[in-house]
Amino acid sequence: MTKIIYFSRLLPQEDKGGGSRRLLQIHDFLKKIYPQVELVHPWRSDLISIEKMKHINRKSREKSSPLSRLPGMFINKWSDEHQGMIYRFLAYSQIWLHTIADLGKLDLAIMDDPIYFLPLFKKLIRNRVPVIAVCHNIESIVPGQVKKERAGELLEKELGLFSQCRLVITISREEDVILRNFGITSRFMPYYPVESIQKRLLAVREKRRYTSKENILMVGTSKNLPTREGMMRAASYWKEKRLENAAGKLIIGGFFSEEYLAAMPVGESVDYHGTFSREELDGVMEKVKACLCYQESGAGALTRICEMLIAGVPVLANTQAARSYYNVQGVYEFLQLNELEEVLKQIDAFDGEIPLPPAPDLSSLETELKKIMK
Amino acid sequence: MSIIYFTRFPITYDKGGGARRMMQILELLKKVEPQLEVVSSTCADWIPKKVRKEFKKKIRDKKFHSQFFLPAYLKDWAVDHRLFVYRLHEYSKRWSRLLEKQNVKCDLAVMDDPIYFASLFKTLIKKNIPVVAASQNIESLAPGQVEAKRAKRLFREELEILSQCRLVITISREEDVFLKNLGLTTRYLSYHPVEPIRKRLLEIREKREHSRKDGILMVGNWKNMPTRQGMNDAVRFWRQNHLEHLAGKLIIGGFQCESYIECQSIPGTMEFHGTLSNEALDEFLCSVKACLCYQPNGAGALTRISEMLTAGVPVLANSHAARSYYNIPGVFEFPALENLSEALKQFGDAIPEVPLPLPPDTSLLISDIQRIVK
Repeated sequence: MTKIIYFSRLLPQEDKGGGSRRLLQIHDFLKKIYPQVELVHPWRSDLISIEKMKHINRKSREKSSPLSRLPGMFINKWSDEHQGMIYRFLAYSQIWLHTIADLGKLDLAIMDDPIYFLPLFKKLIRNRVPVIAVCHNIESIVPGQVKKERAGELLEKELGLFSQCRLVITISREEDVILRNFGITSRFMPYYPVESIQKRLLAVREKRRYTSKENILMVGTSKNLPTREGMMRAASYWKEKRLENAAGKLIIGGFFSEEYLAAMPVGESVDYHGTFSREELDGVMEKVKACLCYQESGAGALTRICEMLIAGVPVLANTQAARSYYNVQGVYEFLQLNELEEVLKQIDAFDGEIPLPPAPDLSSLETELKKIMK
Repeated sequence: MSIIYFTRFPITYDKGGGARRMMQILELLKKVEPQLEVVSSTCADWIPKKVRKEFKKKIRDKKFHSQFFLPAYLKDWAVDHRLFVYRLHEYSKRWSRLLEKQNVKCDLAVMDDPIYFASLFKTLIKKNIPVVAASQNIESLAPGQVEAKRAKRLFREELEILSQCRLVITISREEDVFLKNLGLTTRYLSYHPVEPIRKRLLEIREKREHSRKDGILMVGNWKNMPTRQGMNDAVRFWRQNHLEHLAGKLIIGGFQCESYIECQSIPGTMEFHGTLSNEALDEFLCSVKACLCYQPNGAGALTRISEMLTAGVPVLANSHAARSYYNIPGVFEFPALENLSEALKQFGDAIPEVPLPLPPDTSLLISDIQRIVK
């Protein structure tokens, strides 16, 4: 019997961040092609016990571990903030090497960003198991994750790993272009939420038909450095220019915002919300004029923009944040913050419903995946 | 204020895409400094007249006899590309020497893809002269130009050089996003033809309003490996699938087409034309249904698509070739060759109207450059 495993670094839950929702989309799609695909993620207690997991998590927070003193170690090429995560994934993949039977005999492995699972990846390649990489980002170029002086070295390493994969599935058009030009077999698979999330978003779209609109929403994972910096800059600009007079309050929230944005002063113009529950977020989305995405560098807003558009919420995004969504209806692109007022006026002038983005055509990716298993 | 633009292209708008892009940047730089000096390798500028002939002969006839005697900087490049790199390296050395010895006044150097002018670049940096790079491509990422085994090393070197520039002007959105995430200061300037070319294209647009449309045109530089591969693949696919029944014949042309085409003309199905003169190309543009761009990897069709759209010619492009032009009216994207028939069906009787592309807003780029020179 064919054995296929999808190794993910994320929890398959729609209430979590964009990465988790992307995982759900990929897993759903893979199941259609390979119904036998098994999902392995760090929270599966049959593979990593809760005790062990707690131990790894505790160790990953210890700043003075012997590993961190050796500058040449892989883990030390990443930023201080990111080292804990690197440690955890390396440890998880070491455990999987022992707890998953017949790893070397897998017919196919699918893996989120292989740079996080080096021991596992190496074993699979050594055993000639074909690997498909799911690239959530080229991780070595996400600002804030890597030590600047090591960025080139890590990027070279990550590209080396991708080039050993049979296929790399990207979530962004930009990465697809770059990887292809490296001679890496890559396919762009645009994000589109799974059925259950779609349903929720369509309900929001329906309700928006009857609501009066006020305020602008800015939502994101504040743990992510470029997202956090973007939120803080946009908030300062909003206050400084008193944009509440033009578009109402700026409502800022999302995962980890209690932790990272707690020190931000609450004023009349900006409302810091913290993590939204699903219902709270839907409630806000029903009534806001638009959603603002602002990032001066970073991965963009690849899942958020699509979801906002399905919910009928127009998106204001600066050029970097709008990546992979350029010239898409409903996305109002601006180059820098001083153009924001102008774009807000366009939103006010727009009187209608933004078109529902169609689900992507994945037929050629499907053919590609079937070819790998032939 | 003294600005010098070091280029590898001829100063004319009659040559390939690179030269036309250079003319666009030149026009923009003239707004900052009308007296700027252009130093081009194609005109052997700055090479004293008495040695010019001898110098040109030396670099034209250069032979690389064995890997052993090959200069280290050439080993990273593909065999076919080495002579080109060698020539630019020689110019760069000469220019660099002149700059040092004759104390040429230079407040700002603008340079096409600095990786080709490494010694000149080093001299400029040593003399604290700010450098702005005009990135025509990330050159180490252009398939066919680089030795596959050494691509990652060369890529790192190119990024290292670009990171020392005060600004990198990119022609593609994808490279812009990528370089920004690596912490480089970049500005994306979409290609827009200079006035003489634009005038010609607008005349075609005018004529197309009254002309009968038949056939699909595919042009490109056949010397370029990905372009050549893509065109040959498209030609084969067209013939095998009898696509002439959907859209008429496929008209193929472009620089060095004669030398590289892999099959024969078939009346009514496809016809081959070698290098097309401006007049011959214009004539085809007036009467074809659309232009086809197909590239599985490579630099895309960054100048061609913009010019076709200005001429009112719809563009059919696969996802890779359509890079930087996604979702733009007049561009019909298809994921892979298998989807070409579907895309062609849109060109049945009524040819879709192509809105005239607007010139990019250059004000920010101009102020960036002014700030650097100050």
